[in-house]
Amino acid sequence: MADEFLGMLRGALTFNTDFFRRFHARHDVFLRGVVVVALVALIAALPLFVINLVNGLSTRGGQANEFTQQYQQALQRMMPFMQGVPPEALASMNQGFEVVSEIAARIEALPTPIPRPIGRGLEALGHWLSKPFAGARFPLAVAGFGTWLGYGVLVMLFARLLGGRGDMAGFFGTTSLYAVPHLLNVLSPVPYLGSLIGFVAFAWGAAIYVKATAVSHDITLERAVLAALLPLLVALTILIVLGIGLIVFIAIAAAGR
Amino acid sequence: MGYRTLSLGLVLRALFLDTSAYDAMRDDDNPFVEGAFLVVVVGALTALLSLVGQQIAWASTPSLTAIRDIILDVYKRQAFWAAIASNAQAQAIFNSWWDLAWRVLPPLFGAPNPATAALNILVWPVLGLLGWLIYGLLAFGFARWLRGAGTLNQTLGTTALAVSPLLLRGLGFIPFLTIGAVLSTWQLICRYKALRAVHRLSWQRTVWVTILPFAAYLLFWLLIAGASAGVIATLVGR
Repeated sequence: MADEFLGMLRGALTFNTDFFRRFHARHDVFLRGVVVVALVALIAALPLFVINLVNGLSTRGGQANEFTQQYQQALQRMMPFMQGVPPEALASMNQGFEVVSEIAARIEALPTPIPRPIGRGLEALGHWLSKPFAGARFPLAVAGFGTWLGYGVLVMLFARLLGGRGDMAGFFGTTSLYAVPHLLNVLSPVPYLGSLIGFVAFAWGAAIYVKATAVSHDITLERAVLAALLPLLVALTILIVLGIGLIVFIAIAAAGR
Repeated sequence: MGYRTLSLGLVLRALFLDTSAYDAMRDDDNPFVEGAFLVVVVGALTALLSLVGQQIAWASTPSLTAIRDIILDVYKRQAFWAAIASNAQAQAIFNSWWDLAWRVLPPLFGAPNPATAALNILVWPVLGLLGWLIYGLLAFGFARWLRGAGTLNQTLGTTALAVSPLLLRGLGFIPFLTIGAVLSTWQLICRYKALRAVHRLSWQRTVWVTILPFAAYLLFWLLIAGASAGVIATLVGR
């Protein structure tokens, strides 16, 4: 089992064509795809889950003070850029923070039927288990069912229009391998490095996605690139046309006044 | 009594896009009955499981009334409150907006609500049946228009298998779990598989048959909105 999993990681990450073909030919390829995406999403979010769980289970007596300290430190760092801000605006900002802090502290102290630490632990667990279902701000930017299936439907359509012959189960199952590099996102909580690693995972995953599209549809890599990009390009074109239309409409309305 | 095709294995195979599951349902002696049973069971079962999660989440969250009282108490100590308190009309406006916000916002932000979750044991199967029947009828109409070969009975039976992704809503027994809109996409893929199995159309025509019912929904709601706007404009113009 572990050997099979490691073999899958190696085959996907090294763009091994034979591996992609074998994976695509499996009768349970879609089920495997679901498992790959879910597992990667959960493993990548594991460090964050542990942090949230530990924070949740520990008592939160000092958390309000810690939060205030963090706010004051952030304010100190921003001071050089806030020279022109009037003192009344700063005072109003501080007062707003104090109001929010007081509300948060009093809500935190309210009783619940289930002891708070257990409730917070369950909350952290629920949020962690939601990760496979989470959407992405950009296609294929995370390992998740939303982007995998949502964007995949459009790529499948364009691949077919470009001469692809793949079926739904084979295409979705094979393209699920795009999620494998997102295992790197276990390092996402690391400051600065996390976002860079996220970008590497995305680029690597996108390249695997193109390879998987080519193999599952039996089309050239060039066509697979086109199929993977066209949904995004069409969406961008529609947005640009709508944006220009809106600007023209506003300009005409303003000129007519 | 007819032969029973439906089983948990068949539903799971449909969920994971196994073509043979859709073929088996198509070839059943009465796919409609099996489909209706599946839609009701999935709706009721997942609602029941979600109720468990909602109950635990509710027990892990402070009372909304207590939260509301705390926020109001803090507001009343702010400088702006004096202006509201001294004016009866301003106070009445504030109270109506405050009450409305506390009725509308908590459900929008996913505040646990066991009462609504309990009601879903009835609502989800009924809405599921309605959605399934309307989609199935429309898809059958469009399929026949595009020269599909399947019957209405087969169309309804196989498209019922497209409720299989909704089984994942059963994970709602885990408190604070959010599933989102992905199930609709998954259902769309299953509907394509179902309609392809029944009507044996080309893939291009099957895509049209799968999405045209949604275009019909959109057109229907646009007509309703247009008609409502017309009625309101007429009433206001009097």
